[in-house]
Amino acid sequence: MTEKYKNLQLFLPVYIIFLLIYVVASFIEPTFFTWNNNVNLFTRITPLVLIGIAQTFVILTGGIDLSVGSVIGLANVIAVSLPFVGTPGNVILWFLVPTLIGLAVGLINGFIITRGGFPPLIVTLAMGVVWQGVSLFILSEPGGKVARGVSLYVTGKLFNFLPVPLLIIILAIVVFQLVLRRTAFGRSVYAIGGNETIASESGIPCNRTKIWVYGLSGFLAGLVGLYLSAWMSSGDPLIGDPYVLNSIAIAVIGGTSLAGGTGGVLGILGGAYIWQLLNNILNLMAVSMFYQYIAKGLIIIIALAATASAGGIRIGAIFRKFGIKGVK
Amino acid sequence: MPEKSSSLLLEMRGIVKTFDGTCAVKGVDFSCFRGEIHGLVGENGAGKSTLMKIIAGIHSPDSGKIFINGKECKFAGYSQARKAGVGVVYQELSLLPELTVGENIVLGVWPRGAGGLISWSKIRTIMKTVLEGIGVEIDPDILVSSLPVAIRQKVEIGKVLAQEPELFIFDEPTAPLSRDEVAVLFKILHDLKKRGKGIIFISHRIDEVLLISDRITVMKDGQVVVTDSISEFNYQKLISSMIGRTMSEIFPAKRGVNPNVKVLLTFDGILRQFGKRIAFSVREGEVTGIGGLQGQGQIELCKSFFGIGECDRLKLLINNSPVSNKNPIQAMRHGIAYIPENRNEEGVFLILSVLENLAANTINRHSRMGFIKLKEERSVVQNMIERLSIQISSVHQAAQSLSGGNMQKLVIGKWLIFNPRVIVLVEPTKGVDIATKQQIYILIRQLADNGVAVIVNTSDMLELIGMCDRVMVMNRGTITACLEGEKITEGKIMEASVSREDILETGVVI
Amino acid sequence: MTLEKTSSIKGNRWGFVSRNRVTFFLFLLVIILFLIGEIVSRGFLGYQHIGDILRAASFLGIVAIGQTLVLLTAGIDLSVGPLITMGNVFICMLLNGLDVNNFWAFAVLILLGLVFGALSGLGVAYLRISPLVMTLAVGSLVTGITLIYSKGAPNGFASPMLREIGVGYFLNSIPIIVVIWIVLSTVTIVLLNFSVYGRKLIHVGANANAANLSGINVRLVKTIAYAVSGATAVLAGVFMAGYTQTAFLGIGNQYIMWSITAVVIGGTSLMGGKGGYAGTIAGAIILILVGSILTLLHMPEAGRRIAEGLIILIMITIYFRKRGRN
Repeated sequence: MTEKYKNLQLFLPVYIIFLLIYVVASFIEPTFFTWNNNVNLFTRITPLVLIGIAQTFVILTGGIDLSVGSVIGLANVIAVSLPFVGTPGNVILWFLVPTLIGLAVGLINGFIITRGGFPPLIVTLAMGVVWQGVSLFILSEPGGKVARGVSLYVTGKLFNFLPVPLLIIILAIVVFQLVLRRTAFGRSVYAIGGNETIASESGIPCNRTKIWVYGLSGFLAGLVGLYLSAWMSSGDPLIGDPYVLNSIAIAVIGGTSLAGGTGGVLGILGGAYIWQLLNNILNLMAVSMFYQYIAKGLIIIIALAATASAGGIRIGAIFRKFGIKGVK
Repeated sequence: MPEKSSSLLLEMRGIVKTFDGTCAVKGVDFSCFRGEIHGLVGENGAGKSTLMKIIAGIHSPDSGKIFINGKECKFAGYSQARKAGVGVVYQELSLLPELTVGENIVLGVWPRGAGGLISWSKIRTIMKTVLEGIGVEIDPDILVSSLPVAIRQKVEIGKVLAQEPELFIFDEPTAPLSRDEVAVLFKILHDLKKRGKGIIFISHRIDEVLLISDRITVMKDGQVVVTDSISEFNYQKLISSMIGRTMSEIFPAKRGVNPNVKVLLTFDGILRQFGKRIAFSVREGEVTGIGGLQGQGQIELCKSFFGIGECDRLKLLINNSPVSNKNPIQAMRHGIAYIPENRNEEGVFLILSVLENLAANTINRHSRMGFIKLKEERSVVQNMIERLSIQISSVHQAAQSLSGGNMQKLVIGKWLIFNPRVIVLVEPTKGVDIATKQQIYILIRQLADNGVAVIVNTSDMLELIGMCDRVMVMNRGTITACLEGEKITEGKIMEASVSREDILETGVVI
Repeated sequence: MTLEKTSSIKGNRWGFVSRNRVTFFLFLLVIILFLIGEIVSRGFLGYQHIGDILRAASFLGIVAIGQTLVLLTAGIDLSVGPLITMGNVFICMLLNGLDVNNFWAFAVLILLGLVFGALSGLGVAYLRISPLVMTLAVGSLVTGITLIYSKGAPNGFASPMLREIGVGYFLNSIPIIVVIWIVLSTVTIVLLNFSVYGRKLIHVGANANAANLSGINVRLVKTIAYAVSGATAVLAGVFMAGYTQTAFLGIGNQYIMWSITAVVIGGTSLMGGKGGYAGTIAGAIILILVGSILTLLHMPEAGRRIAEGLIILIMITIYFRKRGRN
């Protein structure tokens, strides 16, 4: 089969499921379909999409980043602890400092993993704790301040109808899909996840690429921390904790295999949507928020079980006739 | 005839390489001219692969020098060797199945277009030039995972060609190819030769080496036995230089075939990948070999004995009673043993001790009420170590510190302790030194003599001919020939390897 | 042609010591840390205080029994946190301060631990789901169940017997929970080193493929490991209730990281197959000691977190650096 059909095979299921849930939800709860509800959804989905993209890149190389939650928290508390609140200087700092620190943190993670040759799971787990400690140093309890106009970045609308979050989502997915498909960096990411030995023998700089992948993850986590500070108008060192599980779930539901080498960001939007819809539906149905934990746990297990056993019965059975086409 | 643009492309002088105390290459001189196809032959363990890995920069020699185009070279990895103009087409292809053909060919050297993005049009151009040069057209957007092996090999060649090397090394390229496909490959090699490239051609198929080479080098025990032009060689001379002894000096005496002897084992099933029925039996005291081109189902067949192969409607009879072997545990309950091909991934526990490795299959046997009888286990293991002459300094040393040959002894030893009724071995002497190989041949014969049904799958022609009493040649998932005694020759095996008739249909009695 | 016989290999009297040298060093480290503690704060080596340290280490050590088994299979159990919390919350609500239901409450909770652990194990072993994600997912399930059952506000008390286990002393000298830990540790070490299951466990961890081809029921071995991990986590949560008297949501959260750290300090390889519980015992005590010393040095919570993260990195560097380089 060709690459295009493989992409479809990976990402189509997510969107089909997503559409199903959307339709069913609209029947159960008519207010679901309103514009306001959807804008609300976009606002909540944006951080999920960004961190899902981050985790996807890392998982594609065959690794994992368990520190994303702590880095989000770190960026978040830094964003609300900056000096000169009320001046334009503060806004600039607000943009730059958390994201650059996120980048630096990610690069450090990547460095330790590649130089030491350690399993990414443990390194990012341990570093996550370290960065959480640093966050607690900066802000031991929720608090902090942001410049007033900053929350517009979250609630504002461009041209008075396009919500900024939606813009961010579209931009992120387009840009990073381009990176994955058309840049040497992106192709190298897939190669490393496919077979690192072969990749390295073909001259791909594996260590350097991996370091930048973790750097990207940290950078995006920084962005999320930033976003959250604008949305909540305050900071919380532990705000990022749920995002570890969330990012992995979204990446996997979005079609990326934990083994690395296959997948991508096209399914992230669907994955993030499905994930958030759960909460949204439960809310609208006035069901206790506690059930979300059970729902999420079950969904992950089902999603992974489905991909595991569907190994033989892939949806691509229809695509099999395209197998050896093109060879003369 | 080598085209006499006779610059010396590659020269190696006095190469020595030692691993862990075993000397793999002992002072070898080797050369290759432009426009020459230089065949390199030798048994498993003769040092060919190591020598090639040295040229490819994967190993660095302990002593000796390498010259390419007259310039001395020291490579710290394959990338450097590539830059110097060396290209290797491996037996195990180095393609990424989840990427497209086009991406695989330009892996690492991405051609860029506007804005620094990868340019697909440039990839197409490269592919056209490269693949047309070898007379092949493939859609660049196809994923490698959906291509059959013979086509994948062409992609691999294309990948190497894209780097425009001067020196090509082909490592066992014809193992999975039929005679027709080999002819296509040879045409490619001739084209390359005309373009003034130097080609080193490693193969176990003597007939082919004699056909394609301008010069031939024979290696044995890490040294060069003879290097000469093709006119000086014939089949006999080549074989005898390779093994340097007669067959009877390497292999223990065969039992020979006696149709009156009792049948130990019958296999009857359909390999799912091919959908054809395959059935045969193994008689007492006979070593049964499974041969044929790679990838024709031999390994699936062997795995099916052990319950891990994809085989439908399998009926396995041992001593005339049916046996269920849906998984390894069931298979072992009926006394079936399986020695896999990939020792490191499937056979040995690298980080565990020699003791733990040897006791792995018989943990339950040497236990009482859930606890291990340590003394009994220890003595059984010790006996096996002595019987197989496994070189260790302590039973507690980690398996990964052992040489390849000794590790293989761990795998065989744990099954000997198990005391099987049936033993299936896949490529048992792969990556094993000569001395250990001989021990393994002796063991196999002993097992057969003791009434164990022995089935060996090997791609080494000499082993099939020298060790087996009967050879089942497989093609496309079924048996095309059952050769016995004098009829076991390279010619007959090769003929059967491509035969379209299968024994079941032409009614030959098994 | 015949095979030559070689001479037999003699055992080495110092073999046992040299093979376990890491564990010996770790216990040496424990002693050193105790001494450092005394230097930092007089009275550290007091009878009562050592008891307190060992009591804290017992809770961690019990959780780490299961984590050790799981890591030996080259897996990981991130559901121990929620399971500890579940044990903690449920026991208080079930007992409600009375001794009446002790036996049944214990039995139910251990069963719950086994069930959720086995769930993780089944997903990992039979559905081939990555342990990371599977145990995270099961952990999420468990969190939800705990929250729903307690309606977000756990109530109830530990029974007098449980309280006695949690704070009481055996023969007036050793905390009862430490005695329980010693018993459980002995059982664990014996099982790991001498039982059929223990031997199969390390084969599964060292090379699951080869273990399968050696006739070992890899899936069953893994499932049992995760089931035990679930049970020990819940058990630790139950015992903690004896100490704290009432339940706390989130009491188990830190133990995810701590249990993994204790096992890693103890020398068990993350790739499975190598290691054991003796080292984990030392690892648990070391972790508690370091935390205690840092508190005495007035280091805030944040600093202790950083230290915890760094400890794992340092330990894997010391133990496993060369493997990465190969």
